[in-house]
Amino acid sequence: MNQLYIFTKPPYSTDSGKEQLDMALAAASFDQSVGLLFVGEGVWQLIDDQHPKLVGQKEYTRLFNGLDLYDIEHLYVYHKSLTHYGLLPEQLLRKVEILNDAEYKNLIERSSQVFSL
Amino acid sequence: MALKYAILVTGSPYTSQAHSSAQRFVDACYRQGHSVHSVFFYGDAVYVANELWNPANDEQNLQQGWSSLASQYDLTINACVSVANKRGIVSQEDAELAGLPDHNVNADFHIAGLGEWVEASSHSDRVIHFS
Repeated sequence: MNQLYIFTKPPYSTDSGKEQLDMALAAASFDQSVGLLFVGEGVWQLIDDQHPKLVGQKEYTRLFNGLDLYDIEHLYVYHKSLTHYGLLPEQLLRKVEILNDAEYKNLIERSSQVFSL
Repeated sequence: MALKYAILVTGSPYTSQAHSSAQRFVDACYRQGHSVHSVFFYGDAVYVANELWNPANDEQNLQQGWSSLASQYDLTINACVSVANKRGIVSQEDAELAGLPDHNVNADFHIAGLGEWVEASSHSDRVIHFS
């Protein structure tokens, strides 16, 4: 099964990013093929140098750096979401694949299951 | 062709229409000759498993709605253990393990790990998410 998890919300203001990541990790550890896509405000999940501890929260976004352990190799960002917020790929906490409109559409089309919590 | 559906519910029972829509969908599935592998409650949806629900008599009771579907169609309804415990929805077993003074999961609901959801989604023809 080829699963895609789409992150559309920023981290830390709600638990949905962490809970969606937990779901993706569970799927990957049961040998599903998992990709993560960051769109809209979801791109803030990947911003480097965040300090959630200052507001009493656990820094779960670090896990995006350790996904190789779960055989999750593909992280995608929609190009317009970066430009919308004036962000550069260098400001992200890891290397990602930046998708143009056609690639974005194609990724969703070829995924057998698509989730967005 | 008869299809098997896996149902994911993440919407809160109080601030979304997720549970109401999901229950109608499950009922419609069976009426049309399809079936449901199981229902998985995640995120704020797990609040529906709290057995201390006590709505007014003339209000919709979404917990009872799930219980009725579970018995009518022999349907498994699972609530995710980690997000439930975090929100104070705790089974007897987990309450004893954590040394909590009480437990509050309605007996018709199973407390399950994310592995149950992975199993459901990978053994179904379709996955439908109600948020």
